Amino acid sequence: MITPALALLVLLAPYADCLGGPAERVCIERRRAHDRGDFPRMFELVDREIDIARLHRLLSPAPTVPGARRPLCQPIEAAFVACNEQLLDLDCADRRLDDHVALGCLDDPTQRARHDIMQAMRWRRRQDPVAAMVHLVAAEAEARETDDLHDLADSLALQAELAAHLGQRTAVRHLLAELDPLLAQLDIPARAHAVARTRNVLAWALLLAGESDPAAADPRPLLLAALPAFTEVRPNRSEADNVRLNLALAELQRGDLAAVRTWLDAVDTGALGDEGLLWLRLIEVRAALAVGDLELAARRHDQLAAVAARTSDPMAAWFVAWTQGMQLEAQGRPDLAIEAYARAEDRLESLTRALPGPAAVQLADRRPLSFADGTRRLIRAQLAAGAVDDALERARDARSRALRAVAPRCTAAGRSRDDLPAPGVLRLLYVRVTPRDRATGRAEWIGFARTHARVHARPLELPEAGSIDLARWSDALLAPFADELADARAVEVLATEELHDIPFHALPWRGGLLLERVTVRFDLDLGPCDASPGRAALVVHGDDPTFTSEVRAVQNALAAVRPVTALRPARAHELDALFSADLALAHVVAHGVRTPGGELLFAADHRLLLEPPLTREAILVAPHVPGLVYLSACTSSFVDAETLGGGLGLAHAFLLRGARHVVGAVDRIDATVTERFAVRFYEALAVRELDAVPDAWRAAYLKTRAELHESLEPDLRMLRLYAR
Amino acid sequence: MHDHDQPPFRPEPPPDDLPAAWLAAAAGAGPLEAVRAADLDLPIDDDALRDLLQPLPPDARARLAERCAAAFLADAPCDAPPPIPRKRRRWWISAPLAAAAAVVLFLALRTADDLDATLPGEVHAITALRAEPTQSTVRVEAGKWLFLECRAGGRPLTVVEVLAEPDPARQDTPPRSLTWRPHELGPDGGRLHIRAELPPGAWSLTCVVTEAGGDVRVRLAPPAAIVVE
Repeated sequence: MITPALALLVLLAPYADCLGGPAERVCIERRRAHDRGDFPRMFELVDREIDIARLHRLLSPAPTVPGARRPLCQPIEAAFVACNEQLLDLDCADRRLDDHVALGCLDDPTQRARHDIMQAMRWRRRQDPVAAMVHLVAAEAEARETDDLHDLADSLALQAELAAHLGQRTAVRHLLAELDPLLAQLDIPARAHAVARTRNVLAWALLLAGESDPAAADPRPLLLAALPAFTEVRPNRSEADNVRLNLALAELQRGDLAAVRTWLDAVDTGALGDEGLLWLRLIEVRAALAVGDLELAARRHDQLAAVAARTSDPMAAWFVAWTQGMQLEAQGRPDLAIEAYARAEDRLESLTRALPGPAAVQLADRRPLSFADGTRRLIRAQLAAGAVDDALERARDARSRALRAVAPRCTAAGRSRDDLPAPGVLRLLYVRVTPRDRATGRAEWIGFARTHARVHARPLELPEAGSIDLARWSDALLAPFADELADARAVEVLATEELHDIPFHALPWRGGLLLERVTVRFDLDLGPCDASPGRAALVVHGDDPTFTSEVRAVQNALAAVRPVTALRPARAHELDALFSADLALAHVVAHGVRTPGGELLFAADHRLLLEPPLTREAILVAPHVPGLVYLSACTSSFVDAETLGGGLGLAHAFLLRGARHVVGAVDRIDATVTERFAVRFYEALAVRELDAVPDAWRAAYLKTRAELHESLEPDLRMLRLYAR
Repeated sequence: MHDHDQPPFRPEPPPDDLPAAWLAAAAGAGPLEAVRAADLDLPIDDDALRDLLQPLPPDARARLAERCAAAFLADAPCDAPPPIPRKRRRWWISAPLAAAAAVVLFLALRTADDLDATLPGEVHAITALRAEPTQSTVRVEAGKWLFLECRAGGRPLTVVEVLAEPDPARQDTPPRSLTWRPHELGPDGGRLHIRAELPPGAWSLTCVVTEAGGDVRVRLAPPAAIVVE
């Protein structure tokens, strides 16, 4: 429910304390201008500080020692922050960033981390978390090199904010644990102001995390520790109000509405900019709805709509429609509420599709989940109104939204697959429709069963997340649809969030496995695309002697039916063979690993160790992909349990580019298991051909299961058949 | 290397009683190797029994190891009675004591590198997971599987057992036998898929081998280090 653009409410420390020296008095005056919001005066003084510092350097041409450029670079940074964070003047910010380079700040090792932090802020403002993260990792390394704890803290706090935006709860927790002692160590009177700003950044990260994760740490201690720095140490109304708004949001998340009012009453509304005002009204509408004051909520909503119309925040229209839906629901006007929520959905759809290119992959991965509350409310309202099919279609579109945004050329009309299941096919979709309970983490889920003839929606009683008792999952997910399953010969599973981890095919059912009754495929829910038209098969493998056995066995199994070659790519262009138009089938044998450096933020960022490594980015832009791909590697079909659509692992990337079927492992897998399964699969496929992949997959699974030692069955369960 | 035509491997349940080969070897009536061929890993709960299970004196261990190694290289059986310390012979008067002494031999053979007959070779542990390639020491989850590659000077051999010995610092942890069906190694050696049914900690793994048609059991050295998590 929070947009990155609103991160402007958090102001990062532009090296707050003035240094001694010839420009000290100008610096003090510049700070005062900043604190009273007089930016023209501030910039004038910044330029004067720069002139003095340059003149001083000319007059005393001492060799540059670490820290010598600080008097020159610090005012540039202050100006950058004002442009980038407060005035939202991105051209102005870019000019200051150029100055930072042109005036030689990078020659001073103490300024390199500052420069990377500024670059990260710049990319964050442009909604490119990947580029921002690259700079933050560099800043962290530089800060550790120079032993500058403040730079380190700033870098980690911004990483926490990015992690929160992307819903990476674990990363937020780790960063908080690292920052807590660091901030305590830094907290001396001379640094109080700067440390307060870092605390505010970190608290903002926790607030973001708290919107979708009730177990996120409490940001209030950080905010309460920060506030005195802006009211007493170095009074700054804007920054103090910023902290108060954050405190109000923290109390709103915890349901203490009296405290929300107290903090909001202390905010000087007249002094807030439009972005701050937008946020204030948003909290006020939510608080009014929480106490049931519909008249006040309506008034505040009008004010919210007015300020939203003035701002450039791309999410503002979504906030307006979302809160309007809540308001109309509270007024007992469900039809209008459905319309409002639908408008919020449409806004989200257009924003997601407009994501910038390189960032789309990463952003689409997780961020839309932060805005799923509108989707959940819409589905609930439609079900309450008896519009089951409409609710199912909305759930399908929300589930595939991020995936469609990544591969627009292969999605017809920008929507989910436009068809009814064929006779005998059962489509099962599961979706959470309420927030998680703050105390128990539990929520209400709905299961949809769609057949050619009818649709049903039923509430589900799920076991606690992480339960490994497959019988309980079978009771929760299959039993409600026993009648539909009895008539089905094939099941398409459309899972969301933690249900991506459930091995539906291996759930116990009627004395055996579900797979013994029906074929099971995990579906991307996208229409057909242009897979390669060829007939040949290619076995691509990495450089590891343990792969030899599988490569030979698979070649033998495939050779009975189609021309097959093996390839161990050794140069970058050799991997292009995988994307040839001649291929119907590719079998890839490799080690699957996380992308170095990306572990913290991007859950689905895996690649296969070939030469060059096979990444999802390469797959998504491939000229062709085979119709059937088997990724015989760990985590090759990794699914992100904190997304609606499953995230963008390698298997999904192949499907998005046009593959019809992908076999992969959602987690780590034993080499002999995947080898044995692959041979059985291709043996079965030899008599069934590519049109019957789900049947061959089922036959191979059941046969392999009977052959393997029982301790290897959990590994076998990791294999999934994905389809689009 | 890994033969898919063979039936799936399933571990056999341990026998209820001490194997007859132990009793025979302990009584000096059978080859020592028969003791090691009997795959069994018995916990020793009884204090009195444990007290009896003292390791052999070092000189006796060394002589035993030398003789068995020489016999192996000469392709001759190492079936001479073991050089058991005289004071322990009186324990064999009764059957229970004979069983206890057999365990003495079993443990002594397995716990001391200088005791056992070894054959210079190569033993490598390799992760069986398709995740990070093996870098240095393989780490494996208890109960999961890994590959063990064994090779000895281009000789065709048969692996009759995979032996796991704990880190020397953990003297109270007994060695384990990771039961395995006989596996022929070609001149280039071979790769076994074995299950780490071991308590957590550092372990050394090696192949215990015989030459084709022979019954002399030696282990390849140096062993491969793994960490069970």
